Amino acid sequence: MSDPAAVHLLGGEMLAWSDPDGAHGPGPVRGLGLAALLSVASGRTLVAGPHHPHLLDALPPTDLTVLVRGLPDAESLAARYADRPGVRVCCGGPEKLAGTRPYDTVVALAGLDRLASVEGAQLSWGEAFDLLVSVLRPGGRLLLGVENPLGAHRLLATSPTSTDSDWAALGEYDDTRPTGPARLRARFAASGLRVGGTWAAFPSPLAPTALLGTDLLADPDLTGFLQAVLSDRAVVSDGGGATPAEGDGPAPAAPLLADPARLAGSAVRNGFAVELAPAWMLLGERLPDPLTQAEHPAASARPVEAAQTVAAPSAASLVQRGRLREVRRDPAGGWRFADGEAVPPGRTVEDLVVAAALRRDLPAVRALLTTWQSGAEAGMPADAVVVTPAGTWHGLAEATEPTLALRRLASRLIDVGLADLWPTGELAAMLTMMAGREPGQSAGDDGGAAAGGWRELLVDRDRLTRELAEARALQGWYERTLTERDDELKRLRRIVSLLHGTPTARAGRLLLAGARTARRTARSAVRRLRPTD
Amino acid sequence: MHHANHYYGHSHVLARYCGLDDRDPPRIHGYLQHGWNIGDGMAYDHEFVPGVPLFLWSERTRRRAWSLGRRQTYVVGAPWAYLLALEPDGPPQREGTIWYPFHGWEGQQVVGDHGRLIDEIRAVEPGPVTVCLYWQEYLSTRVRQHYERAGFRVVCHGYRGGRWRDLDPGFLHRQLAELRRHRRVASNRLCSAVFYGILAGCEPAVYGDPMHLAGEVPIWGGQPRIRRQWSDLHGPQVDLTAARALAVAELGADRLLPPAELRRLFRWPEPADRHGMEVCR
Repeated sequence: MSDPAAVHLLGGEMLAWSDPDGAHGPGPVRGLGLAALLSVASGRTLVAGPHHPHLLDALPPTDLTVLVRGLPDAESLAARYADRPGVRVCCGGPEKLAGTRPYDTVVALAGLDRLASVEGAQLSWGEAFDLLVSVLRPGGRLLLGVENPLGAHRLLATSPTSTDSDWAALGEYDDTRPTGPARLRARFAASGLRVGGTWAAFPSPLAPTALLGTDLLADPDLTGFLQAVLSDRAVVSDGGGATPAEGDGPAPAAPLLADPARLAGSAVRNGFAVELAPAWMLLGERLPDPLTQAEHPAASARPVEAAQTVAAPSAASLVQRGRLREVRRDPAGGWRFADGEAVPPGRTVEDLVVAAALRRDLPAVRALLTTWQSGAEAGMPADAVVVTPAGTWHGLAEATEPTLALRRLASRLIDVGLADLWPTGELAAMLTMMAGREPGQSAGDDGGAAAGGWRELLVDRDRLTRELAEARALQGWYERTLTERDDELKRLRRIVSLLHGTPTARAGRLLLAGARTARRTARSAVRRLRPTD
Repeated sequence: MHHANHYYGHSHVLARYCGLDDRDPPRIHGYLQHGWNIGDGMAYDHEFVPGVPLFLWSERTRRRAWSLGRRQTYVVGAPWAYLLALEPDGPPQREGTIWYPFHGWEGQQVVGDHGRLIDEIRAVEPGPVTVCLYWQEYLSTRVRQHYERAGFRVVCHGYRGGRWRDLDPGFLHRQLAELRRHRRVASNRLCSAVFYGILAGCEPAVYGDPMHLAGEVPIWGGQPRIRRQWSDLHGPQVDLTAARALAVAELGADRLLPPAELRRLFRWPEPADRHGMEVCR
């Protein structure tokens, strides 16, 4: 049991409220990728809003203040950090922070929408932002998460969700909220903050498994790599966002309007991934106050130097199969993972196959499929294999069954309107054969669309409707043909029957009957004459 | 709909405001908040039927109710604020203090030292004191005489009513008349009466032993929370501007609905006499 006295009650605490338990809203912001981003934190640190404890663990504990609005959350954190005297847990509304001793680092990765308590002031985005900046000392750093109202996660959602924490959620109707990375950066600048980095967060604002720096996203050579990252099932299904050991599993899957991986792939292809990211994470550094600088140039310069000793954030943090991979710019050109491996430039096999198929360049399709399916990447999805301009192949996902990978590709071809490339139902089989493999028994075209949304369902429905119409037309044609044949048969039978009644036929029948009687008589005579031994 | 909608003559005041017959107010299709509280606005012992709307006094209460999972919540303001809109104040002739000792409701017993409270009231209040007792205490000769012997005038606003019995449409009217006679309103617990007094033009004060109910379980943080969150209203003297702003917010006096909207929300009929609407405006 925690000691409630360890919690600093600021006023406006919510007594029966918990953000991290996820029962009243989307839960805390979480993920290994964000933990990596927190390496930029130093000195006296404030964390405002619901952050998963594993993020708090990644912060320097010597002078750490955590502000939450729910009293049970505060008590649980106080118990967790009871043995760390440098950690101070505060509970209440953010407005109570005004005037506190400034911080070297302020972290609000869960955004500014879930700071306010029902009891206190309902701050707009702009007011909450100004408040956090006001408690940042010159040279201090602000790490802020900002949800994108036009992000892929919202565009693809079937209906807006309303939770217990949305008692007065303004969302995109808050005109103090800067929209888009450019306006966000301008807002930072207007508040005296230099932007030290902007990362696009996928696939969700609170459990991102891919944090991609804007520089990285702007590199057209990385189209294939970025598509592979964003179509990774582990990424799109939100699977790597939490630490399973802490009992915080992936968010429940809600039906989407379309396959998020397809949209992400298209966004990368069109250079629009930053704009469609579910959220952005920004690092701002408060510039020295010009007045202070003029009066005490040495004093104001010191904090900036101190801040610069902190590790520079990476260009991208990816969580793949529970493992964090960081990407940094290679001084020699291009990009490298932290372990030294180069990030492959180029395009995905899927993009190359689709382009060749759209051109109806089937020899090129065959060559690509054969190379893919004869190599080590055979079991990897075609959208997770990058072919570099030098012609080397790089698989960026875990290998599964090659048949599954081929069926997924068939499904993607249907999605882009290539269902008619081959006769109905033959797409997956033809791809398999072109790849030099034997088509399996259950080779359908629609086997790989498991991660799809309503859009893919509609495409499937339309295709099935068409196929059904075609099947019915074929059935009608069979019926007609059968009827024609039946009619023909009947006509021929009638002729046979008619021929039955002619004198020639009758004479023939009498002759045959006489012959049969003669044979029976002969047999009976033979039996009687045979000795009975 | 719910019998608590008729407590203190609340539905009667609202019916009159809406231009309807306030002798027999129509059924309100929902639960009407009947007292100030720090939870979701409703009494903790109410039985809720899903889908039945809650009519709450203030925006803060609505936010709190929403956070507690209540969805069909609508801010209409306190009936008291409507009564004040219907009954304009006359020229100020105010004197002394009206003091509301914390009371229990039907079936509840307050445990506390009335003698010590009287001493505190004497020490703080400069002018004549009227003590307003809830009917239970008022009917207790022992409690009533305690205050009378101290030289205080003792009054009672009437019955709250319950389960459609002992309804007292004059309750709020008597309370308003008393409050408007006094310069100050005070209590040992922050409660509806203090907010009512502030809105009716009294200077508020909350001090003295807050006492407690026999077997009281503090819900939503109880008195410690009230004293911390509404600290501006506690003490023998408080800042009047801040108190006024808090009372307006807590009673939703800035959120009152026009009669037509209120009728629509309560699913009340149009007044037979359209002129009635104009009168109540």
